[in-house]
Formats: sequence, structure tokens, C-alpha cells
Amino acid sequence: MRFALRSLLKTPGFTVIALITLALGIGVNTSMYSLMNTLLFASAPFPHPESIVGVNGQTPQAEFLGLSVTEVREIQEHPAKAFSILAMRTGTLEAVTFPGALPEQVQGTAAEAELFRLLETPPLLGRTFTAEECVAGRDTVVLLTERLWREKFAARPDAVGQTVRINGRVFTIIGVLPDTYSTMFIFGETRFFRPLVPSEAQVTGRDRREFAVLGRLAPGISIPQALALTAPLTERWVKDFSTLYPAQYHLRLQLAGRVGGNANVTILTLQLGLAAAILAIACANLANLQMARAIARVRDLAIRSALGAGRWDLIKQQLAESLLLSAVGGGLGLMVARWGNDLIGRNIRLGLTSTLEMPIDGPVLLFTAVVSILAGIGFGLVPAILASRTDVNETLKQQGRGSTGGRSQGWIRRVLVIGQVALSLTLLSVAGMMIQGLDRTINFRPDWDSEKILTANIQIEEASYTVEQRRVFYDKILAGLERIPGVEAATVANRFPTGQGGGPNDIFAEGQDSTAKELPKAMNYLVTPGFFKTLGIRLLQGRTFAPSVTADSPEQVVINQSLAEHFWPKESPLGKRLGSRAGNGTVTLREVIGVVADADDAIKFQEPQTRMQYYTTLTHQPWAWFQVAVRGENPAHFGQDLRRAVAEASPDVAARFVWTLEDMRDQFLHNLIVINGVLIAFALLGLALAGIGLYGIVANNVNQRMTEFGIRMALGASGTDVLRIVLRQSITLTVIGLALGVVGSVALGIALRQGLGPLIAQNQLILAGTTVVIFVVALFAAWLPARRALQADPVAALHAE
Amino acid sequence: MSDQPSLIKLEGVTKVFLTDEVETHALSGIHMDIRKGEYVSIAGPSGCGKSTLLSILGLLDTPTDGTYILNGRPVQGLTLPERARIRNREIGFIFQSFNLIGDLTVYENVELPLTYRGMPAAERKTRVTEALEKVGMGHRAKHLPSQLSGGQQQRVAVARALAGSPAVLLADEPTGNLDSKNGDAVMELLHSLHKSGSTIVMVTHDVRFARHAERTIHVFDGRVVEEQMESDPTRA
Repeated sequence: MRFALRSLLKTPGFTVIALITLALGIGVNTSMYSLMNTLLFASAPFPHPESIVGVNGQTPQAEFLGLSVTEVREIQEHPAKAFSILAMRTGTLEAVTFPGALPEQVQGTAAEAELFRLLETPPLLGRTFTAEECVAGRDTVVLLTERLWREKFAARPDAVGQTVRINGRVFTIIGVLPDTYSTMFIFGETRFFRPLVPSEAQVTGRDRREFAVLGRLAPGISIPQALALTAPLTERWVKDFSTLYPAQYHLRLQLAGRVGGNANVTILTLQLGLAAAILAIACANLANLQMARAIARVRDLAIRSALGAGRWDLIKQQLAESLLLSAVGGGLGLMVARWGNDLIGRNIRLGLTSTLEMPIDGPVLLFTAVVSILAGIGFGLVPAILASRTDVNETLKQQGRGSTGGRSQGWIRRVLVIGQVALSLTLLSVAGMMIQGLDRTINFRPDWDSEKILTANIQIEEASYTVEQRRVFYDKILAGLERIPGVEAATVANRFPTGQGGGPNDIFAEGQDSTAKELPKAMNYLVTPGFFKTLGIRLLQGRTFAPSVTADSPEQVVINQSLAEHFWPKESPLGKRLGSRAGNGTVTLREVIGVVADADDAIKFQEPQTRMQYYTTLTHQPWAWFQVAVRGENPAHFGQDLRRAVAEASPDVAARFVWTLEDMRDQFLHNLIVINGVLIAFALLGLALAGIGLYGIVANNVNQRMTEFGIRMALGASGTDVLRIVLRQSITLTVIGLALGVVGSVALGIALRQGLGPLIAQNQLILAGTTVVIFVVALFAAWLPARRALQADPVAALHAE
Repeated sequence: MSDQPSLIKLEGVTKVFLTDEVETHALSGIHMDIRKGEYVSIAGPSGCGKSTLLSILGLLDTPTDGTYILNGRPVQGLTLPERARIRNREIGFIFQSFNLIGDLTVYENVELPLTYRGMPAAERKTRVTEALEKVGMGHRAKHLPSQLSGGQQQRVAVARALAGSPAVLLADEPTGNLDSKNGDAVMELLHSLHKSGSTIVMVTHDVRFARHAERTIHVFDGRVVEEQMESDPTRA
């Protein structure tokens, strides 16, 4: 190690380049692993986190389904005890009024009392609520998290016992929970917990899958075992309620505290993969440099061999240098990672306000150590093995003109350059594909007038509002919204085509078998009559809902063009009847009164499950959770007025997520834009490293062949002839690398499209463009050192010979 | 010396190089017997095969045919690691161009073969110090080779060869890169080593230096053409 250190100090240029290369390569890998570690491998900050799981339903189409009260009770009562405790909860954003303050929106959680027993973490102050308090009328108790307690009560113990108003009801503070109860990937930005009291409809509705469920696995039961134990139950659900559960429905268990979802895993794996590609390129560069150094040292190695050094002794000596470099590079990489983590963490948004903390903890340090060692071996082993093959006798006889395994080194170095070019193209083209995919997503404008609306979400307590009260409430809000100066139209609906999800319903045309297991699917929008005007959705046939429609009016439906073409391709759908089948199997037939243009989701993360849409009236199905929209010029300016209109309708209800489409794009796509920035940085880094690698190999090649070039020039070769010889090899290697890179890029693009949908664009132009860019960079990297060949001196060359 | 056991014994050793289907016979049927404590020089003109012979003796190269017995053990069929091990323990090399490692100090150069032997540091230190004192370079232990004259570098090379107490010292034109004064000094050093019991085989094309040995083997066209006993090697 001492010799290795001395050798590195003797060649500061090489050492600095190697350390910078390693620091960047290891740093980006460490940073990406930190991100993965934070998101995918985190543990819940509660005792025995290995047995705390999030329980979801999973269908082939939808990754995460909540569970209904019925489902949870059946799992609890199932004789095969997979879980010792299950606890339902649901996130809420509610208007909370603290003593002496105005109401404000605060994120909270309504949970079953079992949650606290499950998490085994007592409150800092007071007590948690009991099962007896999770009953309507007795549920007016609340627990604050430590952060909220500090903010609103300056951490005073006498906060316990005081009261706050939540959505107009008075709740007594009974305790303070530690901040672990605000863990982002379990509870979001929750600041308080109150008892969960499901409504009657939620208790009886098997398809009311509205609850997030945490489970504590039974002692000795692993996740696969729990899935196996619950499989008979879910299979029975599929058999007995075939309209509610698709064939492959099953439970999904994931350790709590981790981020799930195929797209997330795909993106994170992609990032780590690309970071690994950068390190591979860096290692290829360093391997090339190390081989060049080995050539310079071949005589030393031959002497050592003559003195009795075995092959392993020689390999050890070379490897010591590589490992020393990679260890120091790893240390510097940690600094790069820390900077990268800060940068990424500051820019990533979680929820509405939180940023991401990506600590460099034990697992990350271990990862860095392993990556550093592997990198050291990766770029040091091959040169070391080749150097150890030195022909001692031949080298010593040549008096310093020997070379180390010349032929082997030649092809290995060529393979390394080919690999670098191929990896660079893959990196750059994947980044390019994602840039275009994101650009397309960000700049996508649907066929409806999405840029002139302001939307907001509103939730009223289901149990507190009767169906009739909800209708009155809609009318009040609508009246308030329409009074806002500059508002051209307003509407209330269960959702808007803005890409916020929601599952489709089973539909059929009158006369078709409504009991069929598989029916066509369409998105259902529950709307008020002003919906189409507000969103600017074009009417193609018939009419939309009359302003006078009431709950007593016959149910009617407006369909979109895709749905019309699906069921009635060669006739007018007007007057026909469209059937829909609810989750519980209830069938409703409605007369088609109009056809409107397709309304694409304004923000698309994935291809829609269906392009068919149908619109029915909200007044016939008055939801407690709904959205409002107003239309007008400069919609962002309506924000305050919109909030005021909602507050006037009820002082205990607040509008949340008051966003224009631009705000939504920013909110939903922000993290992807950050991630894409990281990908672009990776791609440029990879390209730079590959360019340096090619430069290095050509420079070394030119140095070795200067005498040959001198002789060629003495024999009449022109400078162009010599330049052509040098560049020919570089171009050949580049072209082979590019060919392999094209194959890799196309394959990776296809694979990524499975997980990322429209976020990855597969565009031949991007591939062609990146191929040209890399070719030009490679040519430039080769041309710079190739010029030196022109300085070959024929006289000196002949003299040397 | 005839009462001493044989240290190096070659029987019918040949070495053929194949280059582009052309056979070059570097050595043809070499027979040789060198006893412990002998000081033998191998002399001959350039290209006669004497360096090839030394390479085979030093286990840097293998014979195409024939038998090579070193210290009572046939060595022509050994594996590379076994050959490295024997080179390290039984043979000390002194090269024409010194072949010191420029990155290492004088001390470290001499220590190098001992480290490959896995010798404890304390013992290495004793041996290196002794070897350097023996060649008169103890005061230069911390210098780098580039800070020494040619003669001094060759002394260090001799110390390195001596440090491991090898069975034989193989010297390949040890004065070839030295001026006459330094060359004479190195020959004196070899002579004194021989006097203290070392077996030395030296390749040289210079008859003057060959006469320093007790016995000179003349090689020509890859064959031993003459063996000559020197009556008084110190008077060469």
C-alpha cells in the first residue's frame, strides 16, 4: 500500500483525473442509492418495523386499491390468522380552528383505535383514543402530533384538555403523539389523529374501498406466508363477487414506510442503472489509463518477477493501487453524494410542502464501500492480470522497450471503448426519450379548454350531510362561484379530466347482457349542467343537461364520441339507453341525450384504461367528495374569491388544492422534471467520460506509434494519410459502439415504456440525433490527439530504428 | 572444488526459437556442471547464446529439450509459481543494466525479494542492512537509484542479489554499463563474495573479466566449445 501511495503521488495528473472520475462515478451511485434507500428500503420508525405492512388490494390494472370495511372485517375474521392487528385509516384535510385563531386547512388522519396498539408507540402526553370513541357521537377527541403541538401550543402540557374545532365540530385534545406519527410515506403530512367513524354506506358497501390499512403480521409470519394465508379468502371474493373483483385480484403487502408502485420502482431502478452505467464508463476509462501505466511499468514488473514475485504478488501490487484510488475516490464520492442528496432532496417535493431527506446512513455507507471496492477491482483487475503476464525474459532483454501483453491489451482496450460509446448512447438516448416524453406530457393540451379553468377539491363529512343537504350545498357553492366577477361559467363534479385518476365503471348498451363477467369500461363523470360550458367540451350531437334538472328528473346520460362509436357506430345514439353496473351489481339504464367530444386527461402519466366517457348528473348521486371549477380569463386570479365562495357556503368547509392546470402540472410533474434533470446530468457526464476515454486511447495509440508514423512519412505518406490511419480505428470502434448502443437504447426504451407509459417517448429522431452527437464528440475526441501524429519526425524515426 | 556437490547440472540442454516458421537454435546440447562455491564465467561473442543460457540457469526461460538439475532437483518442468519461488530463494540476479526499481529506495530495492518470501520485517531489516554493509552502500539506504552513480547502483544490485542468501549468483555482463574503474570495483566485489563462499556464474563477452573466474566456459553458436581453468583468477 505504501508503494501504491508513492506511485500515485509520483503521477499527480493521473491520480487527480482518476480521483475526480471515481468521485463522480461513485458519488452519483451513492446519491441514487440514497434516494432508493430512502424511498424503497426505508423502515417504519416504530418497534418491530419488519412486521408492519401496508395492506392493499391489487388488480392487474390498478396497483393500489384501498380496502372496504367489509373486506377488512373478513380478513380479521378469517381463520388463517395472517395478521395480529389490522387498523383502518383515511387521510383528511380539514378546517381546524385552534383557540383564538382563524380556521385553517390541516392534514389529519382518521384512524381506528387499533392503530396505536399496532404501532406500539405511546403518546408523549395524555392518552390515545379507544375503540369506544370510534363511534358516532363519542368521537370528538383528537391527538395532535408533536410538531402541531409545538406550533400551536408552544409545547405546553396544558394543551391536553383544550378544544379545537374540526369541520365545525368541537374536539377535545386528549394527547400528543411523537412525530414518528407524521412519517411521510405512511401518514403523509398528517398533523392530527382523530377517531375513524365509517358511514353506514361505508360499513355495508363491499366496494367502498376507501381505507388505507396497516397490518401487524402475526408472530412468525412473513409477507409471502401472509399472502398465502389470505389467498383462499381473496379467491373466494373473486368467485362470490365476480363483478367486484377481477380474476387475478389479490392482496398486496408492502413493508410500511416504503414507496411502492411500479412507476416509482422503475424510475428509481432506471436512475440507479444509469448511475451504474456512468461508473462503468468511468471504470473503463480508468482501466484504459491503468493499462497505459502498466505498459510504462512493464520493466519494473519484469524485475520483480525475476526477483521471485509470483503472479499474485504482481496482481496484488497493481490492485493495491486501484483499491487505494477507489477508497479515496469513494470518500470523495461521499462528498459528491452529500451535495447531490442536498440538491435532489431540496428540489423533490413530497406532499404539498415537504422536501425529501436523503441521509447518508449505515446502509448507504456500506453501499459506497462495496461500490468503491468493486470499482477498484473493476478497473484494476484486468490491467493487473495483463501486467502479471509479462514475459520476464523478453522484457529484460529488450532493455525497456517491452510491452505488457500487447495483443491482449489491444483488444481489451478496444472493447472498453466500444462499451463506453454504447453505454453513452444508451444513457443519452434514454434521457432524450424521457425529456421528450416529459415535454409532451407538460405541453399536452387536450381538446377542451383546459387553460381557462381554476379547480378546487372540497370534502364534506359524509355523516354530517344528508343527500338533500349536499344538493343544497352544491347549489350554494355554485351560486357563489357564478357571482365572482369575470367568471364565465362554474360547475361542480366528482372529477375533472385532469388526470387525477379514478377507476372506470362497467357499461353496456340496452339489450346486451348486463351480467357478463367482462363488460366494456368507461369513466363516469358526475356533473352539474354547467360542466360542459365550463370546461369547453364541444357538443357534437343532441344536448347536454338542462339547468332545471333535479333529483326527481329521469336520469339521463351524455356520452363521448368514443363511447358512441363503440356501441352505436353506424347510427345515432340519441334516445338509446346506456346501462352502467355499479360495484355492488346494481344496474342503471339512462337515456342518451347528447354526444360530446372526447375529453382527454390534461395530465397523462399513463395511457388511459379506456377512452370511453359518460356523464351523469351529480344531483342523482351526490358525493361528499367533489371538485369545483370556474372558467374565465386569468383563472389564477379567482383563487381568493373561490375560497370565499366555499367559506360562505359553510364556514367549516374549505377549498383545497385551488389550482389552475398550470399549477397541477407543476405539482404533479415537478419531481419528474427534477429526475429528468438528474438524467440529463448523468447523460452529459457519461458522454464526457466516454469522450475522455476515447481521447485517452487514441493519445496512447499515437504515442506508441510515433516511430511507425515517422517511417511512413519517410516513405512518402502525407499528413492526411497518417491522420486517416489514426482516425480509422477510432471511427471503427465508435461505429461498433454506436450500433450496440442503438440496440440497447431501443430495448431499454421498450422495457421502460412498460413501466413509464407516455413519460418515455420512443422516437427514432431522438435516437438518430443522439447517435450523431456521440459520433461527433467521439470524432473530436479522437481528432485532438490524432493531430500529434502529424508531428512524427521521419529522421528521428529512422535513427531510432 | 571437485569435492563439492554439484549445484547446477545441465545435460543436453537445447533452446530453439521459432519465429515465422524459422527455427533458430540458440543452444544445442549444452552439458555443464557447476559445483557449490565455484566461480564460473561464461564467455563468448555476441549472439552465441550465453545470455539465453543464463536465462535458463536463472529459470527465466525454459529449455526446449534436455535436463536442468538445480541443487539436486530437476527444474525444467516446474510451474510458473514454483519457478518464481525457486528464483526467489535459490538465485540472485545481477543484471548488466542494474534493473533497480526507480520508485523504491536503495533499502526497499534490496528488501524486495525478501518481502516476496514472506519474511518478517525484523529479519528483513537485519539482512538488508548486512547486505548493504557488505557492498559498502549502507550509508545510501534512503537514496533513490537515480541519486546514485552506475557503480553504486550495481553495488546495490549485488546487495539485492545477496540479501536472500541464494545458492547461486547469476551475473549478466555485470560491468557492461560501467566504466573501467567501477567495473573493476564490481569485479573485486564478486571476487570477495566468492572468497566468502558464494557460487557465482557470470556471463561476459570480455575476456579480461572472464579471467576473474576460476573456470571459463566458452560458448560459440550455442555450443560449449572450450572450458578453461584459470590458474590465478586474481591476476587477470
